[in-house]
Amino acid sequence: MKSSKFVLGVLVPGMGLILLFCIIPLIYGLGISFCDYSVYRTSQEFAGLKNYMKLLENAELVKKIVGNTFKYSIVTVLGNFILSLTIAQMIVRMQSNALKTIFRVIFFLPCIAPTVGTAMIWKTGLLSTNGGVFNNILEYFGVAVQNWLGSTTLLMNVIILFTLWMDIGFNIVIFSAALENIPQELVEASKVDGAGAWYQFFKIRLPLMGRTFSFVCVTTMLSYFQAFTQFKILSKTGGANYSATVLPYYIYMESFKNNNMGYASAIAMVSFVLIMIITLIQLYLLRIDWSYE
Amino acid sequence: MKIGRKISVGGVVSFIFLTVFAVIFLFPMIWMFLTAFRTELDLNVNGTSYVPRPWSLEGFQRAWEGAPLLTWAGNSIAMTAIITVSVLFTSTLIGFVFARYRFRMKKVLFMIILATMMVPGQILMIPRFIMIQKVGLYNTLGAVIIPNLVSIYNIYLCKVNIENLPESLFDAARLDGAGNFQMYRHVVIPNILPTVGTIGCFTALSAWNNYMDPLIYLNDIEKMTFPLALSTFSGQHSVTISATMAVVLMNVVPMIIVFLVFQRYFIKGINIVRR
Repeated sequence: MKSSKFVLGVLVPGMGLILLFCIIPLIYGLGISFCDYSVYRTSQEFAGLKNYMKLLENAELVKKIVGNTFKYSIVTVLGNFILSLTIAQMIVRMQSNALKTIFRVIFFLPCIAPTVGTAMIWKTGLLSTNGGVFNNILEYFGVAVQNWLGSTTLLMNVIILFTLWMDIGFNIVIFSAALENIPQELVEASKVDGAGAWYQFFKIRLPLMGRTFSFVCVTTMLSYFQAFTQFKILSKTGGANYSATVLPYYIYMESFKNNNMGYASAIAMVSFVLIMIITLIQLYLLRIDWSYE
Repeated sequence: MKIGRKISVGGVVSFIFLTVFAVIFLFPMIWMFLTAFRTELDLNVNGTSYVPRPWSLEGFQRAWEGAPLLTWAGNSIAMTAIITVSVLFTSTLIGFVFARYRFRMKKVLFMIILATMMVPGQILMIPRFIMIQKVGLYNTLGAVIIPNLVSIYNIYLCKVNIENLPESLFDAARLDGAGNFQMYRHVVIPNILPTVGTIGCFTALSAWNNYMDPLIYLNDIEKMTFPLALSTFSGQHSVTISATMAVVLMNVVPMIIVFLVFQRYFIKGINIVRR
């Protein structure tokens, strides 16, 4: 009897908050996507599929933005994996634990700092056309200076570079821990069998950290698909001609700047479906039989 | 058996590479730190140099005069503290109940929790905003705090952790006549302390760094938390680069200190964290 009181006492407020802030908004959001929503009106009109039709009318633009989102996520994930695995592998090679810790801490620092702050550092310090470090380096080598944040072609690449800098520390720490947990005998045995460094890495170490690897794959991709802050700070208006506009930023602009909450909700629903599909595909692809485990 | 330390060529090459990478990695932070201590004149005259000549607190002084720094810090600290404490409580308690008690609809409720875990934040953004506005919380700190009082992923994490504790621990406590809450305090919490530490650290981190929620919900300069205030502040015309970097420094440094102090919770627990 006493137990059931305790269970109720915990669950009622707990599930209440979840209901209020996760479940109801989800249903509500779906509802809004069928409405002609405006914050300036008190009652909202049902608009049927109008918002979804508008998505089709804007197909060119939507395609571009979805394309940008995929380009950004895929390139950044690949870059992230190549860099973080390389660096993690190097960290594991360090003989002293102190060195390992120092390097991990250094690479993790940008993950700790607020993205707004670090993006601001990049914007004013590295990418500025007025004495920015990137341009100073170009000038030093006699190359023409660039308008990093103003150019349609460069902006997206710069944001990718920034994301790599601010985020790979996360995976470096995860991967270096996973690499360290690999039983040394297996690595030694492969050495005896004459396995080279590359062979060792791809055939022994990587499969052995299979589960970590697939988990990290999914979470990294998802977090990039939802990246917002760096686009808001570095791109200001999403780049000229939407060249650096991604889905989260587009949803934000449409709902909070252009007051198209219904339309924005429809985009949000579409991006929700996309996220689900990506997750399922990844989970399926990564269900490889990690037979060593 | 290895005697002493074997230094391999690969190790040395790795070390050199890592050092180079580390310097490149730290550079933006070092630039920020140095720039915060430069004067406007110095920045204009010695554009290509990065070291302050002279070292000066001009940037900090300007930031202090031009912005309600203490208010922002107060808002940020209050928000971070309330969210962290609440998430720690709700995650461990709800996780405990799901892990160790039997009740009707348990499976269904937990399925609901798992399903909502997959919903990305951008989907909830618009409806949450409208709800917050309707209950009159718009432009208050509560709008940023209340939706973040529970964390579904952390409930899941606690549940899994508490499930893995041996039943004998609970039996022993029951024999000693411990009540539900005593069991929670004296058996559950001490045994999942590393997880609690990790959840605490990462919750505080994401609350302190939260930009999206304040951006949507807060409007007045005095109501803002640091990250949003920072982006608003730097957009003003009169603000110098060194003043902006002084504010960035004040925003970044507290978290770095927390990180260095609780480093092991951050580093050891990272593979259970979801971004």
